Amino acid sequence: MKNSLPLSSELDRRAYLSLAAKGFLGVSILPWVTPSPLGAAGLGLNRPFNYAPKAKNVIYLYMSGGMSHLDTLDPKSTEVRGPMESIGTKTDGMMLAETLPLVANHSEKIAVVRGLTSTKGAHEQGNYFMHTSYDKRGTIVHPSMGSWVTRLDGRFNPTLPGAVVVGTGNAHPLSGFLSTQHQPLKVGSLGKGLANCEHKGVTEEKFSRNLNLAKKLDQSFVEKYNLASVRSYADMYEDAVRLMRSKDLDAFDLSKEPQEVRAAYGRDTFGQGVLLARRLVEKQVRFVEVQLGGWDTHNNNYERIFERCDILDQALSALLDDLDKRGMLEETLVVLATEFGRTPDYNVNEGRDHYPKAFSCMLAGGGIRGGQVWGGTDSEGREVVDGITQIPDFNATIAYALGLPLDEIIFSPSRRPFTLADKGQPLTQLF
Amino acid sequence: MKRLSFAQVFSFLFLPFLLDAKDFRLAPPELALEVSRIDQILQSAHKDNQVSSTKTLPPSLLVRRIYLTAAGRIPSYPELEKLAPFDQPNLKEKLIDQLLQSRAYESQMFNWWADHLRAKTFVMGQANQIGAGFLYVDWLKSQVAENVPFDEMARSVIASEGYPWENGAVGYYIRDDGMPLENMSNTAELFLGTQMVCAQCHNHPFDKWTQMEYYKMAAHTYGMVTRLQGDRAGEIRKIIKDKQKEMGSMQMSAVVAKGDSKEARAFRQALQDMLLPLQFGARHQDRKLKLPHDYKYDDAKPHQVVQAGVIFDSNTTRENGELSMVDQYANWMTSPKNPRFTKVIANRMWKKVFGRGLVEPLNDWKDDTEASIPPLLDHLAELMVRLDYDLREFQRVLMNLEIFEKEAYPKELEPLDPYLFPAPVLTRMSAEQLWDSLLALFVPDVDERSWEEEVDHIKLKKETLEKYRQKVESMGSAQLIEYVRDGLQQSLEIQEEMNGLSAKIKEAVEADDREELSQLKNRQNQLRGRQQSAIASLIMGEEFDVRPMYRNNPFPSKKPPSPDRKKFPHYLRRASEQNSPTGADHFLREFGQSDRELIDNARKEASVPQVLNLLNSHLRWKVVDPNSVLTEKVLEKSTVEEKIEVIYLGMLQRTPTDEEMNLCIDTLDLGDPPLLAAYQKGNAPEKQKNAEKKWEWENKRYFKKVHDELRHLAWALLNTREFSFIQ
Repeated sequence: MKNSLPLSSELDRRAYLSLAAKGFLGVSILPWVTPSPLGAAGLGLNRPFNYAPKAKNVIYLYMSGGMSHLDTLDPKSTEVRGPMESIGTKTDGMMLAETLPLVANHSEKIAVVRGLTSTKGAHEQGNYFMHTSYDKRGTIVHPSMGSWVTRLDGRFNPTLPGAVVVGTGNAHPLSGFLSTQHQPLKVGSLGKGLANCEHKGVTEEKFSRNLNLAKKLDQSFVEKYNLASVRSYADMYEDAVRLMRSKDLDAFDLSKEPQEVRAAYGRDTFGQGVLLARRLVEKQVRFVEVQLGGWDTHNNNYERIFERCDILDQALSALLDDLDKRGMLEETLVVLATEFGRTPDYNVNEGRDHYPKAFSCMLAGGGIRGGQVWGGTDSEGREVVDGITQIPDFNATIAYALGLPLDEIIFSPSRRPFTLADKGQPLTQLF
Repeated sequence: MKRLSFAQVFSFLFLPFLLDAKDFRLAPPELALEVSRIDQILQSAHKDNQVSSTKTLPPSLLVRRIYLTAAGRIPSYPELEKLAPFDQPNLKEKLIDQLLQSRAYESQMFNWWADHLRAKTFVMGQANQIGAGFLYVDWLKSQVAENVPFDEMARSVIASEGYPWENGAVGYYIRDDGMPLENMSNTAELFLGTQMVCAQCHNHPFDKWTQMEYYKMAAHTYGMVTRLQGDRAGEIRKIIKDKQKEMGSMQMSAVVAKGDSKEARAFRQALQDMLLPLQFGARHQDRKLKLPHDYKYDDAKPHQVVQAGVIFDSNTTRENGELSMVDQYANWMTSPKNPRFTKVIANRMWKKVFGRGLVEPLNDWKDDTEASIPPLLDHLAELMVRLDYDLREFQRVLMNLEIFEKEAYPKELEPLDPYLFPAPVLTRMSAEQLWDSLLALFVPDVDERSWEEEVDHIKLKKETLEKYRQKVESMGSAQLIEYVRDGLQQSLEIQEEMNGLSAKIKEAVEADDREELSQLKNRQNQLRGRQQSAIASLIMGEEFDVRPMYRNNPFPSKKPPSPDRKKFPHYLRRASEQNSPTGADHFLREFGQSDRELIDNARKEASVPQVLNLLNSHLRWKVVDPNSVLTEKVLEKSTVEEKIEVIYLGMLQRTPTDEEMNLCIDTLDLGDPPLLAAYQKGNAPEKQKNAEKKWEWENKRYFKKVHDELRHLAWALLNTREFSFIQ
């Protein structure tokens, strides 16, 4: 245990008590867990017994567009590197590209996974596969990881959303076929807190009265059209009102954070999004994804990688540092993921094209042993030669860190069976 | 309480329609014939499968549906008034025709097209600096306004050529700059409804496409080059190199391509700035596509050059020596004989009108794909060809079908259930429909709010770019280099000043001085603008304003804004007049506006931010703010009941039931109106005047309170599903 007490240790204790109470007495002692509009809001009841999971929540940094493995986590000394240099880290033998100098200082916290491979060479399909562990099909939308977490393991904070996504486009699978209560909240703009959370100029009393009036006036329509698309709005109204009244709403307000902390994460949307993620996880939001786009470096790879990495390096290193100082790193799994790598050969536009055959991701905290590299590619980063890892395996590892059951079958509304990471097997050796 | 009839609520009766069905392809009898043919196909499908339809919509709700489908929004209250009474003969036919010929139709069709062509106002990379996306959007709007047939539009984008200001359609390739393979997959998905994208790396796992077929298709447009200044830049580089040799240690050597001195960098920057406006466009070139290095199938070797080839035989002769490869490809793609092209668009239009495709999902057709009513899709495809791919006419036919008048289907449909369309499918309004409907409630002339200044500015931008092109092309490369040299000093000075600013900006960031920061950033942008245009200004001469080349919005007007514009600011305009797409936290995006990254990427699922928006955003009071169109009508009515009816009609296009009326009156804090008699009672005749005055004042106070409470009613209705779903 770290010496500075994490804010969440109280919750930790309560969660344990609640777990015990639920298990032994069949009751819940937490007032907010009882009347359950939150569905499976139990606390970790589904966890398997073979591993004592340390991770409670996840910060998932997604590099959208396909992050070049060669210019970040899997640098090479052969010609394919182009002008890119490698640098050493605090960990013997772990080399990173010179684009990540700050992260290199935290190498003892991270596990680099270099053996990832996939067959999805297009953004839409690759992105979808990474987020869901399933192939994209026209006939069903699979849930993303954050929704699986709340579906299988519940929310820890009943007034905040279980999962949050920052900086994504429309392609995100969100809660897929799971019910909308598991839908991650999409945050568009950062800084001033979540928009439209106050009913300015309307008293609490009138607000409630109006809400009731709306409900009554809508009754005949809602009864006539008892359809999922209509019903889901009722869920959203409940969630929205609960969120408006949450005492933890400030978690969205970055202006509550000291200037130096805001600066440390980087004054860009991504950096501030990562800071938001830390604030939310501190309030026990289970899964926060922050996306950084622009990795599709078909043109001018070298320059654009530096531009992207400046942002990533600063935010990620600040996050690892901050979580560590707050004693939250043990219980927070940090993931760096992307849909595919990029071609070892430069193209005519001095860029690199899509390359799903070999690429790298990273894990830290949440019980992961730092200072390790798992898997590897050949001297040109073309083929995985060691520790080949499929995307479902990688996602199963995230689930394993959280102690989620990989074999629990959830049925879609069309009665098709699905599991969290499809048939993926976790990389247990990373823990 | 006395209830009012419809006719009483609407004080204007029988306003006749002014428009005839002109400009339409089908004359009324022909239209009726087409409609009855399709009605018959549907009827026999329903009869064979014993499917019964829903009730016919009440006329005012049919008006709502017609408006949302053809105009992309609900009717404004004044528009609704003009339609009363709703049982007048041929109201449906006339209204459909009127709306299909309106600006409102163009607006909603633009949204549809922008979603399908992934039209972005801001494109990636440097092409953005001359507003290539603005020109793409501008082009798209002009095509929609002219109702250009679908197949012609398809050919225009696939085979586009030229600079963006000459032919905005090149935006289709510029937006995918550097990604020719992805561009092809998107084209195939849009026009053929097929997902080839998986076959980019390997044979498709769930479809029949092989990687070879993918590359053969891609080979058609691989020669489509979007960087046009390659030759010129190469020529210039060569001249510089030669000069460097020739001049040895002269000044020139300090400013050539490879050095890293301040001057060298400035020279490169200036050169790049000079050529930038001419850098992007589309041209058909002969560029060979090769298989990837890891191609693993037996039919060819890695790195082997691929010959173009198509995936369906459409019996069209592609081999036409006079046409470029891309033109041949476009002709094949859009041929009526192509087995997919016509059916895919017919199905898309069907879904647009009825909420669901005859084939679902829309973008994943396979060989064994069957429509839920096969003869209907065959018939629609044949109709589409007969209508020459006129999408407006096609939708006109669909909207006149009998099932269009039916109440939305009330049962749950799973994605793969074959649906026989006894009624339209219940859908939530699209983000655009919702936003535009809100606007229709309070903004007058909601369809006329694209600012003239912007239209004029785009015109000016195009002219300026064209003049610049002509001038630069009339000059030799050596002459251009001279201009760069002449302007170098100026460019360097600006650079110095910018470096100074960068230091100050850093300080301001550290001090978190927002005001200072925004000023400094403005200044920096101005300087960069000057630097960017420095050489172009030299080339074009002092008196020529080059700024419109780089600028996308009109220069700030010196005239004070009109009162109307103050009341209804710039941001309150229809979705089609906003940036495409809007920013991530805009109302439209929260309600699922397409992000223009993928085809057909708009969403309609519920979310928490949507609800927060409806509950608490400032828009919620706009509907009933003092300037709103609806408020004006509410104020015209004298009793509370009438006022409530106006709000109901304005928002839901129906009158409230007795029960709802009572609920509203009981719930809202209205009190009773002051009775004049009570004030007059017992007063001597000479004091009656005073009593009346007192009553008047009380009465005024009463209605102020009433109006305040009615805002809450509007708010409540805004937060019903009945408002945001299309029944």
